[in-house]
Amino acid sequence: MKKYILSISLFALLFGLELRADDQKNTQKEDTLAISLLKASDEARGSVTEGLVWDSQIETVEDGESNTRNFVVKAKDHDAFVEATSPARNKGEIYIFNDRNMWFYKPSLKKPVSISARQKLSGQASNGDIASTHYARDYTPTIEKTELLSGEKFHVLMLKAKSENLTYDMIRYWISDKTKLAARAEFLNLQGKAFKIGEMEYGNLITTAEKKVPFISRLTITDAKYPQNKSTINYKAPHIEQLASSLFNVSNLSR
Amino acid sequence: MKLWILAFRNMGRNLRRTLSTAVAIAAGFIGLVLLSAYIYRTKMGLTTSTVYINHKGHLALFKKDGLEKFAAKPSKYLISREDQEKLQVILDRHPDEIEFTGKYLSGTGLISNSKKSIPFIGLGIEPVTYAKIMHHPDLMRWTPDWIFPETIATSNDLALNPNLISITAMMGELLGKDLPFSQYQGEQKSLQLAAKSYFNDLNANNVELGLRHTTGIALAEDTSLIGSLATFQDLYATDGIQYWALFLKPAASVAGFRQVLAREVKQAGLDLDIESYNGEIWGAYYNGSMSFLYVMGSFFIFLICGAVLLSIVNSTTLGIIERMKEIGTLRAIGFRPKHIQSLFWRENFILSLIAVFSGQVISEIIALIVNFAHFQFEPPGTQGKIQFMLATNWKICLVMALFLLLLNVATTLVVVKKITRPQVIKLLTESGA
Repeated sequence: MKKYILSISLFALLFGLELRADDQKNTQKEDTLAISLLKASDEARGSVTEGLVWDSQIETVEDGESNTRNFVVKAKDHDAFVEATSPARNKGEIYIFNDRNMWFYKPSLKKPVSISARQKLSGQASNGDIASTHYARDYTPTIEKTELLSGEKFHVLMLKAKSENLTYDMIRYWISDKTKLAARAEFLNLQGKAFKIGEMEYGNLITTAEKKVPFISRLTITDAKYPQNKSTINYKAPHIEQLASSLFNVSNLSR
Repeated sequence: MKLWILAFRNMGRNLRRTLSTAVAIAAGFIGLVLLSAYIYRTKMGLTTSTVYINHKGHLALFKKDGLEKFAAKPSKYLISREDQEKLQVILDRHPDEIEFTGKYLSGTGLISNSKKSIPFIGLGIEPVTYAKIMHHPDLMRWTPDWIFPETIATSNDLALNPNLISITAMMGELLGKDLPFSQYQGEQKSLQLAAKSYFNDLNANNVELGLRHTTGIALAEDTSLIGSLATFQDLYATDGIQYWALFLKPAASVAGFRQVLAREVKQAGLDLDIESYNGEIWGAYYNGSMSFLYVMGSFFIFLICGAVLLSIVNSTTLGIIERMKEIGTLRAIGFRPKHIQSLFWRENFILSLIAVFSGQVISEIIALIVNFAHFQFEPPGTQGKIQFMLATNWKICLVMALFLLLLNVATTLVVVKKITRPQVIKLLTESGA
């Protein structure tokens, strides 16, 4: 009898350990998948190691008033240089992104001003939205679920900020299983409620050294509470260009 | 007159009781004077702090609903240049009431030393007004702890260099700038302000560190910034102002002038609200603090007056019981009850008068000693320690003295009236105490 009980216990223990190992393997697999999905989707939103240049137009409708602002964005690796081109009153204003830090400069200033990526740039668009996206670097992803949208399979990722100075604390992010492109984002507050909703389109193509990759052409950010308030960022003429590292050196801006 | 002389002589008949009653009245009056001196000093300190240090003026003119809604939609609630010109005409009509005025624009943003930025809540002020405020005699009299000598000495600098800004010591610490700020020269004193302009654009301008101030309010010390109106108008890209503060002459009535001004503003077709420094929202800190003090003061006055009244009732009743036969004799030789009553209230009136006068002298001496001792304390919610000061005011003292005298006479009359009514024979046969 004793032998019988011992055998069953040993079997249960081994079976339990096996199940736990399977769970861990599955979680690791999911984490790896989430990171690879995020890396792939970031590429189409400017996260490339080569220099990338595009024109950005932000159309904002807020409280019944609309305005349009234009920028030239030059991004390389984790840095970005954004220069306002219109309207005339903003011409020459520069935003520099060094890693996760951000500066604002205009020609009349003696020194650049350190600003927050969270601050609103225009309407619903925050400063951090205009430059390239590095969610794989900045956020810890976990796969929440998969779901079908218009017959296409999407992985729904929950992204949690790795540090406090990022544009958003949490993002729920829909990435296509087929194209590896992000189609929708819900920007969440600390309570987990969506306060802005982003929708992406990919009508551009960029040619890197190795291949042609799709590139974002439109990001529409809508206020979750007041949907009539929205900002649309149009990405135009993206192309690879050699960019000197000195372009992103904030010290070069001081007079 | 004979009754007054008789009353004065009667006071010496039982010297010990007369003295103990006088001490009780004097002690009560000292309590009232010192309590009122503390409340009066606090009121004047808070008034000066609210009107001058926090730049609210005795009266402030806002765009209609601007006081509550300016922060949410500043461009909509600005007083335009056109309205300012119309308003100037109205204000020029009142040189007898208005000492000086100041235009203000407040807003939020970031102040940067190029390495890091911290948030500020700023106030743009006309440099001339700033200098006038800093040299105002009320500041030195009532809030000397909240005005630094260096602030007064450098207050004219803003007019010479409108790019100068004034920050608190705590903000300086957050920006890595030590006191005194005058030690910084050239690039070291260069700072930048950044904010959303009224066009919804991010805007920034250069400023120079040079001045220091304190708000007197602990919660405001890590964000308070004062600069010139021009600096703030440039930062927010506007030529409008948020409010126009009026600093009135001491003789002017704030409430009365407010009514006059409201009428004239309406006649001129201007859509403006007029707020006073002690208003519920505009002067919330003043209002809240004073309401608390008044409630506390009323409670103490009730206790003190109660104790004095009991003492009067006690000594008068004892005096009457002791003097039953005397009262009977006086009635027998032709004194009427009202004469007896007059005699008693006159006795207590003279006693109260002497006690109140002595109490006033002792209170002044105590106030002098306390003020001379420079006791420091930190009232809740204020920034740093301030001197515990007592400021007696002759008008308040006079009102309290009259009140106490009236109360004592009334109490005496009530007590005496009951006892002088019985028949003369009954009074003469009373054994007394």
